[in-house]
Amino acid sequence: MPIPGVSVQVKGTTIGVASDVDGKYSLSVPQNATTLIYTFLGFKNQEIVIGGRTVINVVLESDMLALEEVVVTALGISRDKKTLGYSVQQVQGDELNKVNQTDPLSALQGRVAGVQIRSTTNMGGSSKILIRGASSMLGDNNPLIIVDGIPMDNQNFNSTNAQIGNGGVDYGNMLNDINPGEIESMSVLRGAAAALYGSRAANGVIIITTKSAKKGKEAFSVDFSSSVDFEQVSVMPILQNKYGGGAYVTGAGSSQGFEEALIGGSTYLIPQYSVDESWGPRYDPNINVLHWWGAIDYVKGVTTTPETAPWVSPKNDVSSFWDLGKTFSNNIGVSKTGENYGIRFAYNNSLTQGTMPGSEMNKNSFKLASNASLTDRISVNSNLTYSSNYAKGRPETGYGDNSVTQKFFQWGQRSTDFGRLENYKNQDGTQRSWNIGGVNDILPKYADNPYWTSYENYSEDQRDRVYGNASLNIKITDDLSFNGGVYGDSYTFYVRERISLGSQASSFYEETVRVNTEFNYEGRLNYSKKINDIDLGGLVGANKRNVRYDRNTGTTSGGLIVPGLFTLSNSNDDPTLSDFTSEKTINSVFGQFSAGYKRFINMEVSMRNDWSSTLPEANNSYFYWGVAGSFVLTELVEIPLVNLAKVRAGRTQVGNDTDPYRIDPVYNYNGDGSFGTSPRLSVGTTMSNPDLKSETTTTTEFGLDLVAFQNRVDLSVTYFNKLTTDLIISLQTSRTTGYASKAINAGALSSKGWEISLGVIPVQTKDFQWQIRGNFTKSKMVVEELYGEIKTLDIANATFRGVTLRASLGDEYGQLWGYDFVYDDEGNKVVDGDGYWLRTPLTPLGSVYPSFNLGIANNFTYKNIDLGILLDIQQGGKFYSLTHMWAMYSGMLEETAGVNDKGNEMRDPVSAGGGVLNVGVQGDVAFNPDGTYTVTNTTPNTTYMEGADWAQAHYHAYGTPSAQSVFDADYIKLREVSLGYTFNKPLFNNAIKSVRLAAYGRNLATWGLDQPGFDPEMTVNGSGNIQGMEGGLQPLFRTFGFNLKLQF
Amino acid sequence: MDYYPSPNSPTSPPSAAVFNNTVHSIVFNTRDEWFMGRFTLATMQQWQQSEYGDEDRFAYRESMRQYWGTFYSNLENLRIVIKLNEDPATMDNMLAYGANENQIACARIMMAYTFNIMADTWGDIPYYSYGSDNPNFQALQLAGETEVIYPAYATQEEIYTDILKELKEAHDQLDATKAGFKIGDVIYNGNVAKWKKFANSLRLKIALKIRSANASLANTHINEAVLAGVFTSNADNAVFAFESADKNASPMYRAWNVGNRSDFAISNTLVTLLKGENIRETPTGADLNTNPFPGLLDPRLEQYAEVNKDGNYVGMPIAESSAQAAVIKYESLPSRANIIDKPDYGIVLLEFSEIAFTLSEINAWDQTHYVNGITASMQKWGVSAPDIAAYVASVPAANQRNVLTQKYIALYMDAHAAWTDYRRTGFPDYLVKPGQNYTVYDPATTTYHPFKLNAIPAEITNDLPKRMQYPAYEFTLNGDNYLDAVAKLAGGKDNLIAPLWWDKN
Repeated sequence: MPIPGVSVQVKGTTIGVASDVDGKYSLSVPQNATTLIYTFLGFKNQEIVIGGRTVINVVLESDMLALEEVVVTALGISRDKKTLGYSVQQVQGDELNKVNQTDPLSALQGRVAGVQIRSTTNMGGSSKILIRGASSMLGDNNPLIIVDGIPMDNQNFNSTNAQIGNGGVDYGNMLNDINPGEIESMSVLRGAAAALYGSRAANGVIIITTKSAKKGKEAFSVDFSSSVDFEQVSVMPILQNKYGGGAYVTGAGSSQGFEEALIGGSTYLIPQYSVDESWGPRYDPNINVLHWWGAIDYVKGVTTTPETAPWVSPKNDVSSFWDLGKTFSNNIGVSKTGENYGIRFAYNNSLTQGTMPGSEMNKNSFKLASNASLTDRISVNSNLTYSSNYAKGRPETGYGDNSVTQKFFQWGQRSTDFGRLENYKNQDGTQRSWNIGGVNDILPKYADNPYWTSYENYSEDQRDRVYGNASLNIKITDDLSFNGGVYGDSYTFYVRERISLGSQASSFYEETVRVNTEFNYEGRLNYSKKINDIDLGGLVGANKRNVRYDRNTGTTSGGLIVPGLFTLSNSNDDPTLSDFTSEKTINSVFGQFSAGYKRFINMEVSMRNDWSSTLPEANNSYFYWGVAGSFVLTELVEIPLVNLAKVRAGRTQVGNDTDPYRIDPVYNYNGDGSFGTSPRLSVGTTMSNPDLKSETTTTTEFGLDLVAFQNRVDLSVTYFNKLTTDLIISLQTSRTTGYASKAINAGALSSKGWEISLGVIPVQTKDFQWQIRGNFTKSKMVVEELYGEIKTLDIANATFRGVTLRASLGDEYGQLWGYDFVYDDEGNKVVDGDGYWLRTPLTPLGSVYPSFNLGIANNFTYKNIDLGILLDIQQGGKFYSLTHMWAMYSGMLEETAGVNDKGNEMRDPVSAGGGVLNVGVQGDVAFNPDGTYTVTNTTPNTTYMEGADWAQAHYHAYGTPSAQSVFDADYIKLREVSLGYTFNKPLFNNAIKSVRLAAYGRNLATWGLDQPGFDPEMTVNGSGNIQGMEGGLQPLFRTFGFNLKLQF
Repeated sequence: MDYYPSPNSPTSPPSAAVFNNTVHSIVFNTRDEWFMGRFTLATMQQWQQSEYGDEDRFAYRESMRQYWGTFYSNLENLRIVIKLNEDPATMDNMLAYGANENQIACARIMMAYTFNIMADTWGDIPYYSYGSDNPNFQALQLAGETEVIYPAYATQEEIYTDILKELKEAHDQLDATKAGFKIGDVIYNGNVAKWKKFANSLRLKIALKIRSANASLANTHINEAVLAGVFTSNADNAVFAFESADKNASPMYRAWNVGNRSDFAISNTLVTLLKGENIRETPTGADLNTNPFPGLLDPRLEQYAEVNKDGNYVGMPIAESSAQAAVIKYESLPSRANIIDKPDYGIVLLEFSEIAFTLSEINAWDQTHYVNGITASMQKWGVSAPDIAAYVASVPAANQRNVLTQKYIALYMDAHAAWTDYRRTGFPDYLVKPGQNYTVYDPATTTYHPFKLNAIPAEITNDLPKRMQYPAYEFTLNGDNYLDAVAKLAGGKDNLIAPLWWDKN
């Protein structure tokens, strides 16, 4: 197709011309001219050596804002984007890999409309990804991930405790195995686009295509990429630096707020080592105290008289605990192609020394991708990847024994010097913790030394994974082809957790091995024919999907026998064992039929029938279908300045089965084995249901695509309305029924929203280009129906139950229910007679899901230099922070050591002008049994509380609002910045074809946080639907890195 | 396409395995560091928390209320034990574990035991009865013939009436000529005769409790139970002994030695009582309360507690903050050898001494039963015969105050029963009440340390809690019935101070 308006320029000069309406051009060039540059928006620039020619025809390759873009859609079928009845957004690997990405999912943050991603920055940690909102109230709502046609398992095995913030290690998503450096492109399919994949497509599909060598011409190439990344703390709670640990002790046996101890005839000042709070005396360099380390050294005979030190803010504070994280990534790919074959081999290694002391991660992957034409009509294709992923010392988050941050932010002594903690073992191998019982009791009380935790109580995990496909393509006639293949993904995942002898908690070792294998066998016939102005296409196919999952867990019992040996045999009592197997088969037949007229009107119908082994035989077959169509106006009429105008609409259903084994009542073995003379069994707390049937997700979408101003502006707008009905849920029942829940088909969940992607090129000159792309996602999920009188479904309870995450009738999905402030009619908060906030019963405080996300990518290129800036903006949503609650309670946060409205220290006694005044009103509050209330006779509150009482009243068990620790999840993040320089000229005698050097950063800055120091992404503890609750957070880390890419 | 059944779990379990698991769970969960440790042990001032004392001041956590759910799960499992022994498809197979009717009767007794604790804790609750078709009994009907998703709350009068009837019928159903549980009966190891005595003794205990609310019903059951045969010695005690391995060890052993938390010390109130001393209000002030057994050192003190670092027995006060608790270094731990370091500790569900004190009470504070009760308690705790004889010889004679205070001492480590007696009778009157100042005397420094019991919940003013609140999830999952039940509470509020039906004191 001829392209008018292409700029043709003599390189190194200002001489140039534009092509005419037929795409033709003529140009006089100077004698010394060697090269012509062809530029046109939406297409890649090309430089052509003139070489004495007088006629030069050039075929331009499409670029980012392509008019004739071909996109990968369901089943890996490439389609002309223009004719699709739905939107498909594709991101190129080049764009993703401007910075060294740690995992493929978080790389999409801000880059695709309709996709909401939250990621932790923990080493190898989890990402939560949601496409067009949730379709299941209790399921994980994760999209299906397809890599080179292989459905990839992306489970997350984080325990429920880990997810609710009650302590546990974040082992990340299984998809973290994918090497981002090998990604050629990622396509996001939603709604109608996804339906061909069947059940799992209800939550959308992400199709990842990895690099391959494309047959066609003889060539050999080597590409090499090397990166180094550095990680450091960027956001963490802001702590006070005025007061030390313990309490201000008064009365007999105390002095200056410290306890006194008589040792060797001298009196020493003792901070309360055993109290893991920071309400102690104010720092004073003139006071020397016997710190914990002085006490331990004296007891252990290291010193003959106790060594004291000044009572001051420690020289080495919390932030010195984390190491500078380092990641070295190397990627090499070798491709060889010929007329009938292409082979690519790639190897990637990524070695991380994490921010947690002693932590490391080592990822290796090997890939062999090949394709060949055996005859004119038969071609074969195969991909095989082996990956190995080892990690040690991943941080435990949440309210757990091995969660060091719980002791840094929630419970601790601000006077602890981290330099002193580094020496974490005594000569005799026993532990040195700051949190000891006292001078006479130097064993850890509640908290282990965090270095002990890191070096002695670490976890390890190892995953070996093989995934690949082998497929055959037969061209039966010019119009008809057969495609058949097998697609497999299998991994073995070992997790080893330990607590060493000498720790505060009982010693322990646990080993879990999981094996997950999925095989898909698929065959299909494809038909495609153009008859005059009519394009016809269709396919019919069948798929068999087998999934098997096995888990075996062994846990020591009664502690370990021999120190330093971590085996199940080294268990004082018999170790406990548990095993679980699940198997599932789904058989499917599917078909798709499309027709187009002059590329103006296009229509597509998809249908599928599944038979699932998880449903009772009477209900195990379910059929669903979808239809999508588009009208491309610009194919019919010319519209000035508009290159493409398309409207589209679609309606799709997807049926879904359930997890295995929800049909029969089953009895569970007690995990601790027999008791006395008898085994132990009990009925599960979820009642099974022999009448379950499939659930249905129906999505209706309307969209508009526009490309205008010579491709300098493109816009894609989609409105979607997704409704899932007959949801298979565990209906929560009153425990008085004997069960906590019953499996049932009930309820309806809707998700409505907008996806807008807008690309603009505001500036375009010969040397300089500025592109902006904005991706906007707005979705609102509402629980439309539940069952009978039941108005809420609990998804999870926060640790200490300050909030409960619920699906509640009529509310936005993912509602945090907590104890709210009581307000009078004028909106004033109401306090009780002592000045403490009053509270409501559990009440909805807002959804954990944001109302919108906006990613803004700016790309600047000036000659060989490119600069990319990605901003990621989130608005709306709530999160609950247990860390905030306890950090207030225990006097750790800066807020607990400020000055009051009189300008006095809030920790000074109220009688001396200190204390805190809750700004609100007093009044008469009458509560009704249903939780509603009325407030009358209000007067402004004038009652000051002691500072510690005020801070400790953040703990809701005092009858105060948990809403004090519920925050807005808004943020503006400088997600990525990259600066690159590309040498286009061959170097070293053509040995090196191109070189690119880049410096970049990820998560560089965060603005707009509701509570400074608390970032909503710190609450991501898994990829399931338990979100927005935190019980012990890790800081957020920022990354700086450098990258070198070479092409040989 | 076939349905794939579970390869992991049986669909028809051995009844003895279900019974075994359930009884273990009932005992563990009613006597662990939460439902007993931070709830009744702390409230009844047998133990106090030595670090974080919020619950000692009656700020109970929601998670403690949610034991409600575990109790109903256990009850459902007991219902399944019964069903396995009644369903024609399974009952013959269950004969391998004992006679069907004996298994059913044991399950009914444990149901009665559990529902009694629940009703004593919350008041009106959804209730299930094996032997009654009262339409108000709607619990445990999700798997029943008519599905009930929102069980109504039965009144306490209906519940206790039915519990007493169930115990009577279970006693009659037990057939000593046939086998009891052949395995899985940790309490009596299949001894049907002892189960009969347990049923009668429990019936006597419950009947006494409700006597002030329905005297004629109570007296009928009291007379029948005594006639049918109640405990006559410690050999009859219903004791659930744990095992030595950590995973099957007793709840308090696990709290200390597996959880590695030493959060409790013995209460100053109990220590002072056992020492025969009064509690002084302020360091220089008058006595707050008087000891019914003045000057009499109870030999059980050294069985109940450890000496402190100075070699003395000093109890823990009710600390108002962790920092205040940390300053206290004189407290005595509960006995290591007898309780916290004893993994195979036997938890007493009901014992002869309690029955003896009960018999004393129903026989106008009878002296012989009173002495029997003291003697049995001391024997159970390993007090030597001469010490027992010496104590019994000098203990003041039986009267209401003395019998009930001795019963409180004997109910050490069964604080829920002590709480019920306190609410029913107001005894022991020796406990420190909310709002009161009191002192802890440390002999090592001859110092009276002053404290005040400041209740955290505003509704608690001058007496101990009368009940526990319902768990919050009942409002969301069974709201209409919950609101009906709350409306029936004295005061119409789901709080800690509404007295229960039998609490006429």
